Amino acid sequence: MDLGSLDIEKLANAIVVLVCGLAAGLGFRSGRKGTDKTPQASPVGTVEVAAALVDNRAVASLTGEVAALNINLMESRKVSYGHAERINANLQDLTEAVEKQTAALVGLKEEMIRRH
Amino acid sequence: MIIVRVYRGVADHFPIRVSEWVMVWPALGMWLALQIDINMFTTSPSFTTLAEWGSQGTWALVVAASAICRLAALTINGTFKGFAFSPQIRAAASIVGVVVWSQISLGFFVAYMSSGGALSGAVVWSTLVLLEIANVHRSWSDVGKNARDR
Repeated sequence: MDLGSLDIEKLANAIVVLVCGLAAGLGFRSGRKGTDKTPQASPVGTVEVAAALVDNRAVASLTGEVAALNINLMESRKVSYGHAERINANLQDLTEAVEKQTAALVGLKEEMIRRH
Repeated sequence: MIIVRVYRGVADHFPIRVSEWVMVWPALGMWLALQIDINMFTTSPSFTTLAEWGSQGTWALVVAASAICRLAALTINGTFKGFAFSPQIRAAASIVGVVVWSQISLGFFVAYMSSGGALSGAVVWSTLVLLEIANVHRSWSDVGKNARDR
């Protein structure tokens, strides 16, 4: 190997090291700054990660909401049952009052017939 | 199942890693050629400098190591999501690729200059160096993204 070729080797290796270092440095910089426009991996993985994040929070929140709704429904049912009981009692009282009035009217009618 | 996981990792990343997958072929192909054609370095003066720098067996080991580095990097990448250093492994594999292909290209060029080899060899093999430099840029960009996100 003569001196001329040795110089070419050193020069070529220096150029390769320089260009490679430049490519690595610029790549690292663009990646860190987020200016790199190279395409990303298939979105399948991203969707999986997003779904996992939504599941963790949304399901816990939804469970709490459903439990609170159940408690509200039970309380509403108790209140409605009380109202229905009261309405039934009132209706019974009204029925009895109507029956008494009917009997009184019948008595009055018989009295009027006797006098005439 | 690990086989399905590796397959999914490779298949999902293949479209954006195609230039790195392509570079597996010259490494494996050259290793195979050096194994099959045991007198390759004596067939042309273009191989004179490479033969001076190392035997066929040595060069076969070098290109095989390059192929194994690349295959390992591409298999790990995307398969094990919890492993944070897969871009660094890809970057290292690309740098190994630049070193190997640049030395082979240089060997052909020096042989052209000093031993009457063909210049076409240097041109063709240096194409691989350019591709590997592009891979270095892309993989180091992923290293940068990784550093930013952590």
